[in-house]
Amino acid sequence: MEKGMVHVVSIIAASLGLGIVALSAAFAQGMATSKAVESIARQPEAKGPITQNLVLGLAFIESLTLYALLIAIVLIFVNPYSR
Amino acid sequence: MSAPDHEAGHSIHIGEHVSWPLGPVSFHGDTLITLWLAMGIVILGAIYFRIRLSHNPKEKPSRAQAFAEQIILGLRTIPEGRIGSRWHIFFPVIATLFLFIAIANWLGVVPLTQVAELTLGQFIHVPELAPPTADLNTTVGLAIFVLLSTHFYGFKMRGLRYFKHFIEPYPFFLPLNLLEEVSRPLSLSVRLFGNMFGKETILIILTALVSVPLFYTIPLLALAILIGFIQAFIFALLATFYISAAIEGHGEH
Repeated sequence: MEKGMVHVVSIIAASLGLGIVALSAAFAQGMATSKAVESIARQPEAKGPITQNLVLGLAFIESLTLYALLIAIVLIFVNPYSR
Repeated sequence: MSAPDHEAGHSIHIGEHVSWPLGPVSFHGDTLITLWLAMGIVILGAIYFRIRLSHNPKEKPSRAQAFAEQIILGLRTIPEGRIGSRWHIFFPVIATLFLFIAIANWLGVVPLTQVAELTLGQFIHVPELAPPTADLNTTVGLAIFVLLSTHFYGFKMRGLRYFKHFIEPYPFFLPLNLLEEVSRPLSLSVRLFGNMFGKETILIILTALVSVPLFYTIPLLALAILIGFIQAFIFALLATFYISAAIEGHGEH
């Protein structure tokens, strides 16, 4: 019972955590993209630099999601508390 | 771990690597194979384009030369946008990082395992070949390389005064700067690894599902090509930022 409990709680924690992180990341990336598209609409000739900065910002936000993905993978597949 | 897929008769292995022991340490064999493959492509490609380059500006450039020049000119915009005229200081580092990581990421789109199994399957047991950047060891190695490059170029350009940057702008910033030294390689490596490993996992699971037709993976593969390119670009761009920040220092524009 105890050993199974660790698995169950780990899986719930991993998926719930990933869901929250994905929600926040989508929110943040949506805000960034909307501001970028607005500024492109205001000044179409600055499309190049704006797009580059947008992609850079999106990658930074994405990397936060990936930290959570890493922990989730570790929890589900190589759980250190159930070996 | 592995999940048995009874309908297909084989099991899925995610995160398992073939182990090549060498004394006290053991290496991930399948990662090394694809790593050498990516290195071979980059090095042989570089040699090929170097042979085809001509020094005469009057004659019409060949297709190989035009292709290589396009790539190099495009790569040059990365440091040029950041520190302008001094881009040549560390341009080879940036270009190599981008080319190697892009080719290594794209090795995950090509059906490596299937081709190897068809050709070499009779002689040796072919493991599941994943892109080398889907292994945390590779990405941590690349990130540590970037970290050491920042210190190298900072010391080379500014001498011993470079090491004062830990105390700038105020001495109580020291723990913060040290933390940044740790968190930069961490974020670089985890970003690249997470993108590639997550994509690999999704692809493996999607192809192992029997009820889903295989052409569902086509848009995922297109996304994988795009993400491979973007992640290589981001890695090279961030390396440019870090190295140029080390070269410039604070307030020395």
